[in-house]
Amino acid sequence: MSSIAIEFKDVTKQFNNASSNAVDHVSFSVNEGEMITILGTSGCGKTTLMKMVNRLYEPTSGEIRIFGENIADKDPIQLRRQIGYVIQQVGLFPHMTVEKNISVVPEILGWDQQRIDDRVTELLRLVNLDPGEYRERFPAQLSGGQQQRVGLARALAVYPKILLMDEPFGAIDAINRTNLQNELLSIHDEEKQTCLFVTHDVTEALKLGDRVLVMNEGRVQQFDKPEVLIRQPANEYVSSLFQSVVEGLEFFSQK
Amino acid sequence: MDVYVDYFTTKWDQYLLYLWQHVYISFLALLIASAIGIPLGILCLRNRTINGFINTFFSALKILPSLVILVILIPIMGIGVKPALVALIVLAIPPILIQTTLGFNKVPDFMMEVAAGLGMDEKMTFRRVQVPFAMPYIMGGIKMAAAEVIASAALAAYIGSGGLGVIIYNGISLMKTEYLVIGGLSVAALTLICVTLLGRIEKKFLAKEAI
Repeated sequence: MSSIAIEFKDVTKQFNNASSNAVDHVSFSVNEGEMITILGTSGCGKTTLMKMVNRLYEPTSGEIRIFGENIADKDPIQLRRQIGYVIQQVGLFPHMTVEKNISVVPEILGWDQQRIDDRVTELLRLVNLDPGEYRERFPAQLSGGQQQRVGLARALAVYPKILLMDEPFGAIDAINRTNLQNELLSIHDEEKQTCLFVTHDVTEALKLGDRVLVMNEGRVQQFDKPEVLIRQPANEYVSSLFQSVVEGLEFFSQK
Repeated sequence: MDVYVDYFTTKWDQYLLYLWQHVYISFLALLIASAIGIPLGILCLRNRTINGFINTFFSALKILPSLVILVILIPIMGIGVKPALVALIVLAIPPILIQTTLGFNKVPDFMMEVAAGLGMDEKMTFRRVQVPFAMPYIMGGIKMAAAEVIASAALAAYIGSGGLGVIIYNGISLMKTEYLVIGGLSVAALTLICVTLLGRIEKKFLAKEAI
């Protein structure tokens, strides 16, 4: 029996000037090592939900626990150093080389230089970039897909047990996106981080998620395995969301 | 042509002195203006009230021509190097301050968020993300200020600061065209050289940031 990695208990987030809750009384738990995709349209609260895990946002009410500990009791800066974080815009620091970007957190944590160098080599191999070729490059000299590979490597640098990803492949072309998705799956198979992966792409959510958390208007609509979502949608919203996928499958099975 | 050869053969030492005075007062003014303008620019980012106040003040100051600032200072500070230096500093602060604020504002929100998300504290974010990001803009501001200061330093000779401006004023009072040409071209050349050098430094910072 695996232990619970992330637990939301009746969490609500209301922004100062908003009339409705961005996240509305949400409770769920994620087992250690699970890859969870959070699916919904823009403005449904999925990003807000994720940013509360590393305390970029603070919940208005409710409680979030990581490995049993209430994160409100932890120092947010220490907490964030233990959680990998990847966003759509990648956010590599343009004045730092690939190597320096990946070394940011190890340097903060005071690793010795040899250990950092070895880890950078290891990480670049992990994300399929040749260390000799890419180590000294600046972000501007990389393609979008390569930048996000470096972004992923940076997030994985200090062996985080939890990885948060906010539409990381959203701005990447279809072929590269498929490659990156497959690489993420193989990295996850090997290292078994607990992942929260936010996306608005239905196919991506179904492909990557061990379980998919469907959100709409700040509430969890359904949280289950991909095949259950398609076969037994909990409500109208979920079934309409997966309609296109179901139709696509029927189209091909008729051929 | 003889008059020019004559000037440089008989008055070379004096010319070098004026050149040195000009470079010295300009450099000092830029240094002090940076030491005031950059921290003020950063302060503007952190506090809206201060921002409004400082920006209005220096924008208003920018409208005044450099000659006016020099003349206004005569009754307050008298003549000599000191009032000239003050006038040049006042002239140099606005571009440096405005570009500093602009540079820090140009750091994208997502970049700040990533820095926080990686676990950088405020100090680290400032030193390792914001400052490098703002550097090319700040250098640009210093470059603009340099062009203004070197040109205005020629006017400052009027209140007794020395420098290449003296040659120009002498030319006017002695009605010697060659003095005007030598003084004017020297100031122009000095401005060009400094701006080019500063531009090189600015580009070095920019090259890496082209996203």
